[in-house]
Amino acid sequence: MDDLIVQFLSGNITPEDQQELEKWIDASPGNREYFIQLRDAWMAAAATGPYNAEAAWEEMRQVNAPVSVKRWKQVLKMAASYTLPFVLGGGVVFSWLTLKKGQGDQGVVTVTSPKGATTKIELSDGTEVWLNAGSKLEYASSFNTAGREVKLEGEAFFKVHTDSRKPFTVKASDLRILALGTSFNVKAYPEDKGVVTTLVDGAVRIDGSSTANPFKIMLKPHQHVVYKQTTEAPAAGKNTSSHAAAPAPVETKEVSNTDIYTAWKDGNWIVTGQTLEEMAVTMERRFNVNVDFKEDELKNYRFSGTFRQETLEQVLNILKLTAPLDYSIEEGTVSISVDKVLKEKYANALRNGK
Amino acid sequence: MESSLHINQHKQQLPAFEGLFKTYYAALCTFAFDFVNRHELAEEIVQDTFLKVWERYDDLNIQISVKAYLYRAVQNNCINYVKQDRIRARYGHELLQQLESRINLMNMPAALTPAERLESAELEHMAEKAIRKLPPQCQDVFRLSRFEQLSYPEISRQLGISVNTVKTQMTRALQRLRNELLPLLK
Repeated sequence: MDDLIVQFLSGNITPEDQQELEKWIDASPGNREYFIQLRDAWMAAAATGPYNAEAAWEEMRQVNAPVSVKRWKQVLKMAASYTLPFVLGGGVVFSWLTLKKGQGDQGVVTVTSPKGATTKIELSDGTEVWLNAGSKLEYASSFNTAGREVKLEGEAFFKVHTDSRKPFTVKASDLRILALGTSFNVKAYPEDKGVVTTLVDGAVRIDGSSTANPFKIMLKPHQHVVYKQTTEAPAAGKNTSSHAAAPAPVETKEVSNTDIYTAWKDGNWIVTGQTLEEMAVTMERRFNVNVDFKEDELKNYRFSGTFRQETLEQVLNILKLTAPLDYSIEEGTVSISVDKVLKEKYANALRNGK
Repeated sequence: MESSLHINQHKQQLPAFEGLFKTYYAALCTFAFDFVNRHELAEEIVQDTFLKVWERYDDLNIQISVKAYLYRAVQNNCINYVKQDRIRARYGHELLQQLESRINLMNMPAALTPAERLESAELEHMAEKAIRKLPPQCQDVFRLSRFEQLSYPEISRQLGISVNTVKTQMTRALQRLRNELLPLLK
């Protein structure tokens, strides 16, 4: 039981093992006393962890300081262009889902993260996987004996345990992504009709042999690759030879800050100049709602900022602060409309400001 | 943060409060982290605690040391903060159960409360001594877990050892720590 107690204290215990530990502690006063001794030894050994008091102080001051009238006018001007950075404090949300055997497919483990939830699991080889909302991960129950291959639908962040004899493979859409000891993000929602791969560290190879226009790419850290799936088959017949080989259907770019693509795994949402229409897609997954635009002009409003585990209402209220929109939520549907009164106030404020 | 920090009302006390915040913030977050095992939640709780302290700053007549007061306030806030509906809504059911269970286990009463124990300089000194006596690999593993708050797989990756080795070394470390500190723990 020492092993479980230490896993509990260091935050590495599973919910099931923690329940087992609780039962053991309740079983006798001696067990309870022993647990408390280990716990208190653990706490006595504390040293200051990785926290930044200066940054926290500045954040706390800014979040709570009252907005002056002068600043309010500035907010109005910024809001007019519908772009305003915002950073808010919050927490992390995770949920652990029970692993279950797929019903028809014998020997396949399926982990599902429904809309509105993020799931973190650890595979038997020590690889950590964060599964985003509305995503599914499948792997053989013989994982790590025959090989290390998983199949992804949706989005996941992988922290791959090093094992050079068995490369780790992610099958996403018609791509295979091979990695050794590596951290990377894969986004492969079927409705997006593509795969986005972001490499944080290590090395990754993308194998597009099975795609309409076969390709292979080696990724370096901080590279970001967008693969657009095409449905057109290569032209058949005599015309084929007259065409040059089609370029790989991928776009590669360097990203200095991979957090933009991976922040979701810590419960955060970084928005960089996205339209409200683009944000609605994420909102629907993240909060398990449908988004309905009453006026099309709303779709083109642009926003930037970081959400840290705000609720849906909090997110919408923040958007309302920076753009003349209104919303209502009814039975899982968010209706977004233009706030005509506010829009006119913005126009008047700008006119008077000049 | 829903509490409002009325800076203008306390211009005189702000520098002293800021000094207090910057002196104890990181250590209090580490303390809160032991209860909730989540960095951002720990920071949230500590910031919320400081805001509450600030709201009553004028009325506070601290009879005990400021340090002991802050630790006790943070410990109480670890229990109460997660009972708020907006915090509970953040976590799935199973995770919420695990979180509350952890908070209860970490608050289980002993001769000294966790906050009081941290006031014991002798215990702190003995703990550091005991850690330094651990075998090299055992000490590395323990420090990465306890001081850097890395998970087992992260430690495994960083030291190039298996996860099972990490588990074994961690268990060994805490057993020896308990044995060394047992006289002071009773």
